[in-house]
Amino acid sequence: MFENILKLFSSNKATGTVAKDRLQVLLKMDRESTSAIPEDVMEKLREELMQVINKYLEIEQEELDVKFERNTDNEGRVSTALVANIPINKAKLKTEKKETDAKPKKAPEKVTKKETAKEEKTEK
Amino acid sequence: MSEVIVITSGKGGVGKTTTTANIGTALAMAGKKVVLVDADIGLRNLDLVMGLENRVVYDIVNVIEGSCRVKQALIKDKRHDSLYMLPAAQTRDKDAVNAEQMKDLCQKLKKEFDYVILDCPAGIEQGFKNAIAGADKAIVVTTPEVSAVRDADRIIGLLEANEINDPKLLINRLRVNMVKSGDMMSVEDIVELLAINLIGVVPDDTSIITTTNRGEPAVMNEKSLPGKAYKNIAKRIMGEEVPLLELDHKSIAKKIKAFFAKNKEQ
Repeated sequence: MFENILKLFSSNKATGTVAKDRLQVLLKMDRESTSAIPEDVMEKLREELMQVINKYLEIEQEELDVKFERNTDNEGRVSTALVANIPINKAKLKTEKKETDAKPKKAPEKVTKKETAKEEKTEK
Repeated sequence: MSEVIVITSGKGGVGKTTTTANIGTALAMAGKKVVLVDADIGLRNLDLVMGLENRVVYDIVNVIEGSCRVKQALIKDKRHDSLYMLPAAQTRDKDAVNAEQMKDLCQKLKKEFDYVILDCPAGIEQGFKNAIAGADKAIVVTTPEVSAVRDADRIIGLLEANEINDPKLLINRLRVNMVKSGDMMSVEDIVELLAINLIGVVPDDTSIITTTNRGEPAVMNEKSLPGKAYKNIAKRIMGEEVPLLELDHKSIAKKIKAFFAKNKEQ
């Protein structure tokens, strides 16, 4: 009874929602830090991925974001995906002639690239 | 086709042993040949929960070291003809067994039984690695608490990394009233956070304590609500499609009322 009155005066958010919100943030961080792929390998992957894309498109090198995500599809099957978020400066081929560059610059566009990949074994 | 299923959780005290005992008993009650393996070496408890503590002679380490045959160490549950248990060693520690030996043992047991259910120790160290080494499938037990859910997430990651795919989630000790008032994460919340398939929900209920006190798994008690939930989970393991148990007493009362109201109209 007293608790209920206290609740009226305290913040209205139910603690169940508080728990879920806190976990949502925490699990994301946990998953990144405990990923089966070591951080130095991820860094190398990021670098090489950048080099390949850079051959064809102008990308914002600082903002390349590569990470693993656990997803559940419509049928409930769980999969781990390698997700790369790569903002590009110009949505055009690098091989195009310089003349085409004279056109007004487009605002940076975001392109999300998804590749499903199986995580490697942790224990070796 | 026989299956080795590991019951795991990461966090201790969320109900792995109770789950192992109940699912195993329910499968045996359905006529399946089942062996329960206590993989928690050093902290033997499955025998106690099953009410078989007075009949332990040999244990899993004796079997693995070859000081007795598998059949000598298996304890037959007198209440169910097709139910057996292999106790953990109490005087040894987790390093007494390695993953390869556990794998061999599981393969041997698989030939004799329809289901091999492994009660995994808490934690993510050697005991956990051993327990999952021989497993085909996994059930991850969690309760609706932040720490249990976080540990479950870690375990799911490790299971997937070890190629135990499609682990199933069991939410234990759900309090319907607290979910209703918003003070407990709901089944939907937990499923969304952990992103794996649900195999069942077991309500928090005093009957689990009283049945465990007597060494009789709750599934043996017709009236026990957790017992019913575990029976449904066993059916799902056998491939049946069973709807989630109606845990909300008020909604049952409402349905009964609605039923009578309908009959009056007619």
